[in-house]
Amino acid sequence: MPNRLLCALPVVLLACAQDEPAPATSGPQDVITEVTTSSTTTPSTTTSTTTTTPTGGTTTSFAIGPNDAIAQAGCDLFLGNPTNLVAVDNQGDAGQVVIQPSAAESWMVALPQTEQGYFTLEIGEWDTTQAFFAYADNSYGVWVADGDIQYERFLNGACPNEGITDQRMFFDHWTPATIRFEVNGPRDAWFAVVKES
Amino acid sequence: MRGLALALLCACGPTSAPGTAASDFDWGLPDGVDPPPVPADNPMSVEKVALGRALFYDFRLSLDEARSCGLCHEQAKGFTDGFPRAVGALGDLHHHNAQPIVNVGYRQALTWNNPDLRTLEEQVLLPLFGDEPVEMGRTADELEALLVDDPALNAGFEQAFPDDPEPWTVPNLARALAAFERTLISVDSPWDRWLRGEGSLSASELRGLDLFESDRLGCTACHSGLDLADPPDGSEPVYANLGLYDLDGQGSYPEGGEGLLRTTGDPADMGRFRTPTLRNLAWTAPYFHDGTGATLEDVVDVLAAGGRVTGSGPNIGDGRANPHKDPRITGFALSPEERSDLVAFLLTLSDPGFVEDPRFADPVADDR
Repeated sequence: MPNRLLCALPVVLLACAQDEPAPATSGPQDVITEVTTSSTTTPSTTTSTTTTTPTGGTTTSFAIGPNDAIAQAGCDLFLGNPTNLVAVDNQGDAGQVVIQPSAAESWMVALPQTEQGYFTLEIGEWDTTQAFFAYADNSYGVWVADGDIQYERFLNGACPNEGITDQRMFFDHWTPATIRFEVNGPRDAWFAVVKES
Repeated sequence: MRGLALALLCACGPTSAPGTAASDFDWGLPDGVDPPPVPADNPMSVEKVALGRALFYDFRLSLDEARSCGLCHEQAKGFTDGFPRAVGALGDLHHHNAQPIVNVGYRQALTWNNPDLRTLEEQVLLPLFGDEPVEMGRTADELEALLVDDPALNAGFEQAFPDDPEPWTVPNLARALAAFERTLISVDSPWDRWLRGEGSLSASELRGLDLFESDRLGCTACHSGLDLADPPDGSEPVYANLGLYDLDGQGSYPEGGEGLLRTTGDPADMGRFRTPTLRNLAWTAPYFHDGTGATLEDVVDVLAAGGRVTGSGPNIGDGRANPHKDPRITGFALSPEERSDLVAFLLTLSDPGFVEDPRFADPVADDR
């Protein structure tokens, strides 16, 4: 089982992320690419680092992720035309904006003029790994009933120069998930979710 | 207080409707609770309920053979799915929240927005064969082939319909599913036990009950009867616009979720949905017709405010001002303590035994 599948809970993640070696065939490569963001918030990964820049922003570094068909699907979606989506500004209303994983559709999420934007992702299958793609400049979280899900986030290995990340998450049960974007990057946040398996 | 609650419960309790079949079927109900009416052409039997239960959990009933009735109506979730909006076998995102299958045999009308669907035998055909949206995605021919070809199902139909020389038909499949669903009766919540004098409620829960029954809140106008989903006089169920949306100042609801309007075509029916049961709320979140009420507290707050104001996202608008809003949704003042008490009472309507009752569970789950 890939190490990313083991880290279902934040507490577990810390242990897994530090102890599990990267998969030999599909894990991160040893190239570090830096992207600049405007916030101090970073994803909880062991392969990204954050430093403060002279201008007050931060620099987040992601390792480059796998270059596989799913990563390529993320790149293809990035080059296509996203569907507009308007996020709400509170978790309680997240159920008003519902999307599903799709290999054919990505979204340009208009974030509210507040600190966070929310919407709901409905994962309608069991035992699936979903690949989340987003601007590296945007921080986001995925919340299910048990709490936040955290897995390593990589720069998309199929198109590492596009500035989009690739984060694979395993869901053992079908579930709604609340997607929470921090408003620390572009107000229009590109986003896609593709089922890996 | 108990007397009033009991009166509200019994006022529209089950009666023997004309044309229903008497039966010696053992419903296993507490004293004082009558079984639901049963159609004359679909009498209850142990064999038929067993067949219906097996079919309810049979994945082959869906196009992708990955979805059963019991998947989207999961017992542990009070026979709902936990999603804001249901997802079909082809991945279709529905416009409505999956309704809990509980006490449905007592219902006068089924589904969120179609008052013409009056029997379970009719209703079960909707998820099986409906295409707007696709739920199970099967055709009648496909299902009949399955029923004929599978020896176990074949035998089950012969036992359930012994007088029918060729029982493996879709109408009989619907009868069996309906018979099983009629047995999904939840009448053993702490509130039920308190009504029967068998248990107690806390001081907070009793204060919440007082509020629930009060004229100030007016909950019982729509939430009475055994299923807490009908008017107290047992008349036709209420289809109410709660003022959840007003997208355009003229009362519009989001596309696809326009409620009774989609059935009747009457603009005045915009946003009107059937009053849902209040049974088993502990397990049936999220709430409202489209699952946009994340918590019970959220729901109480919306009703206390006389509707919902949405300040961000695609549905910005003041639902309180919806011109089609039900006149009973006027709002009410509620202190934080009262809000807590009301929610505490609402949770007493949840029946732990129901969501764990092995009679309602997947009969072959242990074999998978």
